[in-house]
Amino acid sequence: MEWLRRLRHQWRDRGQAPVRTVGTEPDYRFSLANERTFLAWIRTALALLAGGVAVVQLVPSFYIGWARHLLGITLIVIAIAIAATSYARWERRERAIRLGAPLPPSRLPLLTGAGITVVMIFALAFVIVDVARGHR
Amino acid sequence: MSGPGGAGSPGGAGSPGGAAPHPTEPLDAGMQSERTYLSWQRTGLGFAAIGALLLRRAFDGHLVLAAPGLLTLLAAALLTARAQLRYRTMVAAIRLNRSPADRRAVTATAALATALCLTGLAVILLL
Repeated sequence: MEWLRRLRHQWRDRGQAPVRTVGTEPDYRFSLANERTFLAWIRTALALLAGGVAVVQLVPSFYIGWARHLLGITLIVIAIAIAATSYARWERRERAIRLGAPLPPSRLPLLTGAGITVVMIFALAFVIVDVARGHR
Repeated sequence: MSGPGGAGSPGGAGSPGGAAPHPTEPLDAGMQSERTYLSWQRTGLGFAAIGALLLRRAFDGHLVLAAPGLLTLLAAALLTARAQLRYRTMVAAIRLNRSPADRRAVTATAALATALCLTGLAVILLL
């Protein structure tokens, strides 16, 4: 529930000074690296979204009827989690860069990795069930 | 089509270190602006792909998806066009030793991506 705590902090700190006014003008390379990291997360979310829609609409049905929906919904939920928190993450880092503070840690890589692993394991299980049952 | 130009031009006024650079020293070591520009372009292409996917579904008979599909394609075009402008303001900001951070572009992109993901969830749950 780390993200929930962080959301609450974000909400509590919403009245704080705008990010452009805190600290000093940083080395532009840090700002641009932060921006590219943000964009890479957005592309990750878009790829997960495309994968989620594709698995439901393009992949032929598994033996287990709800299998495609389980995979697709999980992928898109991960995509929503990434996209919805991406701005807060960018802003937190930009603030830290301007203040010369250490970059705040993020749980997102762990959560994304774990989520995709779960999806893969389920996909493998569905394929194995298909083979075992002689489906298709 | 006007490509980005002038980023690697020698003799820029400012460097992050603050000291005046050698006349042949590139303004933007490591091509940070180009890499960021290309990153925006890739993201724009990603949005365009999702827009095309939605629009294809719309042509398959789910006309509800025509609006989000077209809007996403439009947003992708705007994002890509804006990347060009942004590239220039970025280089200008770097010359003036100012932060090139663009909060509004980041906000808009994050909001758009979130809206799209929610649309995607609605698509697989409802259609």
